Parts: sequence; C-alpha cells; structure tokens
Amino acid sequence: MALEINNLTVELCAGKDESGCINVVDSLFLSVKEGEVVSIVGESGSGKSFLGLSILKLNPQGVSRIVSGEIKISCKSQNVEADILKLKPDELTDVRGKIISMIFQDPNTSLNPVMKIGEQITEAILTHKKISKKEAKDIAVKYLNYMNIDGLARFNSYPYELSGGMRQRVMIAMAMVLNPCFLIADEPTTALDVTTSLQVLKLIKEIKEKSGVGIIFITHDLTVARSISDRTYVFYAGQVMESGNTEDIINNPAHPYTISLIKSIPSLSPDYVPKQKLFNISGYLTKDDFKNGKCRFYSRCFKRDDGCLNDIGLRNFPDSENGGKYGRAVRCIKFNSRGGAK
Amino acid sequence: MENNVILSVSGVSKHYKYYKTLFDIRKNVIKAVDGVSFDVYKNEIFAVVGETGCGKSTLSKLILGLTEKTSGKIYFKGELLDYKNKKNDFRKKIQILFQDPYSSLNPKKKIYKIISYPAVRNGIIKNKKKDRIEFAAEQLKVVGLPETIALNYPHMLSGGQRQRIGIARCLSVRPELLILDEPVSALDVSVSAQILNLLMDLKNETGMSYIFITHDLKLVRHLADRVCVMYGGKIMEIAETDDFFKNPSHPYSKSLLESMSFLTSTRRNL
Repeated sequence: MALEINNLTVELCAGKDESGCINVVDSLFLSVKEGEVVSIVGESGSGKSFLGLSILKLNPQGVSRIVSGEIKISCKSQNVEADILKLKPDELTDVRGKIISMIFQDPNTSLNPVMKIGEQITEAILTHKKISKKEAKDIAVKYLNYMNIDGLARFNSYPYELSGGMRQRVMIAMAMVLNPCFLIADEPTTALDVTTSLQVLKLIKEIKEKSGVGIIFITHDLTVARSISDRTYVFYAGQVMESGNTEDIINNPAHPYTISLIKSIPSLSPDYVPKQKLFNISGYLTKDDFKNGKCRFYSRCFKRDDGCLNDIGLRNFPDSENGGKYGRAVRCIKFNSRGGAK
Repeated sequence: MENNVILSVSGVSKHYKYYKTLFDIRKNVIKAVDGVSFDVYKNEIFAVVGETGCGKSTLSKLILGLTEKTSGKIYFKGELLDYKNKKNDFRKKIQILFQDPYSSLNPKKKIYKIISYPAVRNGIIKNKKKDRIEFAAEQLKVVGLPETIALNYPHMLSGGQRQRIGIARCLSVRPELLILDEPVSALDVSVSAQILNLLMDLKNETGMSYIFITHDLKLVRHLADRVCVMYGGKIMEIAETDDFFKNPSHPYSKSLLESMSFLTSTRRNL
C-alpha cells in the first residue's frame, strides 16, 4: 500500500498567452507508505495546498492544468491500484473520500453551516456505500465517539454549536468514516490554539496507529511537522528543496532555505538565548521565483552566487539508501556530502 | 519602582449579560474579565498568555476604552485613564497593533491616508495632501519600507508589508504604550521574524512599553520581560519570564508549557 507521485508538474495560468503560466508544482516526486506521516513544509504561496488539491485532481479547472506525471495509488483494503491522472470522472469520485480523503485548513468555513453535523457525515457514507440511513447513522456515531465527541448527543448539532477544536474533530471523523487508505491534512491545526491543536495532533497520531492510514500533512510550522511526521519534504516555490527523515532535516539541515527557516523560529530549548536578533530571510516569495532556469530560492538565498543560475534538480545524499524516494535528498549546488552547505 | 509604572490596572472586570430566550427573566452573566490587576513598567514587554476565549482581547479593549468596563480602575502614569477627558490625550499615548493585517487596513484608502490619519486626528499635522504624504513617507522609513508605496493601496502589498504599515500607523503619534494583539500569528515564519526584530529595535530606540498578547510561548520566551497567564477571565500567574519557564507555579501554566514543549520536542514524546 503506497501512494507515489512521479514527476508531477502542474501549471497555473493567468492571462491569455503562455507567458502568464507558471509551474506551481514542478517535477515533483513524493511517496507515502502505509502508516506513515509525511509532512510538506513551506511558507504561504509556495504551492503546498495546491499540491494537496492536485493529488485529488481538485485543482481549479480552466486556470490550472496537470502537464505531466503520474500519481499511483495502491490500496489493498479497497482492492484498488490505479493512476489517478488516468481515471475517468466517475472513477475519480470513487477515489475521493473512499481511498484518499482530505481535511481542510479552516473547520469554520469547510463545514456546511445549515446542515447538522450528523447529516454531513452520513452524506459522505451514503454517497459511497449502499446501506440504509440507520446503518449509516450508527457508523457516524461510532466515529464521532472515536473522536472524543459524544456521538448520540451531538449528532443533531449544527456546526455553530461546536467549538473550533470540536469542528476540526468532526472534519476528521468525516474524512475517516469510509476508512480510506490515505489522508491529506491541509494545515489542520493552523486555525486552532496551542492546547486544542495538541489534542488534534494526538488524535491524528492515534488514528494512524489504529487504522494504518498514510498521511500527507501539509503545514507551515516546522515544530508541528517535527512532532508528528516521519519524513518531511521542504517545499519552496513549487519544488522540493530538501527531503528526508524529519529529525535529520531539523538537526542537520542541508539546504540554505531549510537552514534559514529553522534559524528564524525562536525555540523553547533551555540553552536558547532570548532577545537576540532573529535570523530572517530577506525579501518575499514572488511570482518570478516560479520561473524555470535558475534555482528558485536564488533571489533570497544567503549563499547565492553565479553557480546557482543553473537549477541542478533534486540530488540524493550519496550515503542514503533508496535515493530520493525515502532517503535524504537536497536541491542545492552548494551542497557536498562532506561539508554540507553551511 | 513606583515611578516606573506606566499602566496600572486594578480590579478590572467586564461582565456580559445575556438572555437564553426572549422571555428569560434571569440574568445570565459571562465574566469575560474578572477582577484583573497588574502593573506594566516603562520600557518593558509584558506578555499576556492564554487560550482562545480567556479574555485576552477583551482586556486589551478595556485598556483602550473600546468597551466600557463593569468595574475597576485603570491608571496611566498615575492618572485615572479616562478617554472622555480630552486634556490628557490618552488616545495618543496608547495605541494598538491588530492581529490580522489583511482586515485591519481600509482597502479603499491609500497607504499615506491610512498612516497619517491618527496624526491628522490628533492635530500633529494639517489635513493637506502634501503634508500627509510627507508625513507618511517619514513613518515608512521608520519601519523600513520604500517611500514610493505611500500612494499604493493595501491590496498591492504582502502580509509582512501590511503589518509594517500597521506598525507605522501606531507609531505615527509617538505612543508610550503599545498593545500588540497577536501581531505575527497571521504571518509566515520568515516574515514574522522580520516583524519581531523590527518591534525589538523600535522598543529599544523609543523606550516604549509593550503589552504583548499571544498564545505562542516561543515568542514570549523570546521577547517578554514578564508573563501573565490568563484563564477564564482571571489571572492565574504573573512571573518574570525566566522564572516562569524554569518553574511555573500554577497548574494551568504547567499544562500550557507542557503542550508547548511537546510541539518543540521530538516526536518520541508524543
């Protein structure tokens, strides 16, 4: 059971001619195994949410187009093996929710405010399974209980009657109710505060251990990624800048972008000196950064020189097994296996 | 130490009444802020921490006089804080920086108008276009933005630039106390580092005091001199930052600190 994305390129166009087009996702390789949490870390505008949508082919039609690549899924419990990009529309409907489901960022806007939460959950079940409404209700109540919500009492509640954390848990219940093989969580904790986001993270981890679902966790917060994920992909301007084991990346970052990201977060560790100047990445992520040719981080990098004007692609660490799929890889010409790009 | 107190809040409460149904005769009361007392010293960063709904933002509204307090008194430099009293110009001395730079700037006004409005309102400059643009350009320099954007609209700027505009607007009347209501929670990590550095520099230059409202303990550790923990409208603990992180005394502070350190530690601890 695995989800594998090979060489995926998604184009987003503004204006009438080709010049307005940028690759929001550019020749991307990504893989998720059973029972594994993979996080995608990057700042806003880097295309990470767009990637999440593209995996389910939910990217806005008309302005964006999947140019090339394949998204292979194999799911034993549902007996499915397919390439999502080659599926017909009705087959795609079977995949969405049943094999790959998604939790969206903001629970306040992604639940229907005029539908009871129980109805919203049973709707998801009845779309995919031919069972009676009563059976569907039983399943929904079971899953709500599982999320630490009193299922029977809350079945007839409207979203406005719930707190933010509870709403997010309803969203997770809705995503898990069909027992999917993969879950895409798009910033599930960003709208919540510290104590509730902790509960939600613990819940996601628990679900993963019980059901063996493979999770793609999209976040902009390295500390959240660290607490939950096995592997991390650092995403910038539509490209993976660095990938590998989460702990390795945080303890020993190789790409200048990852290094700057880690330096710019104040830490809670005992040897941290407060009130010093924080490191900051100069400038902003702009549309021009998405143009091919030079390294996409070039304009903001603190280590740039003329060598960076040629993009070298993602290169594996020489000593890592499996190469770019599961091992460590970095996209920086400055990096060599001996010294690192420090 | 007494002379160094810039803001003194004593026993301030805000109770909201509500009715469960239209014909409800009982008075149900929510105590959003309940008997809160603390002092803020000169050139100090005083952090207020707590989860959503604990009354942090209500407290800031009370200090700013945006909502009427139910009881209690607030003193600013020893004088009773009363915004109706025009003599003291309290509006000029206390300013706030809002959380969300996307909704706190008027989308229909140009940047120079946004920045210079408080100055015009307080009679620092005349309400003439030329004066206002000049004044705005000066303020933009302080926060490290190019003068040329004075004629732009907010939608033309990025999140970090907008938050800088917000800071420029607060600082334009030279306040002595600045309330920061979650100033970086809507921004990216790299941008929030820029804003935090700017705020630190400005504090050291001007000698302002900050009341820093947040739920992110990492920022508190990084910036604050003293920490105040709120829960359910009441203050649970006030402590020096170092002491707080070494040895939190209230159970709620402990649980808050635990949930934070969980996020920063390795995943094995989950």
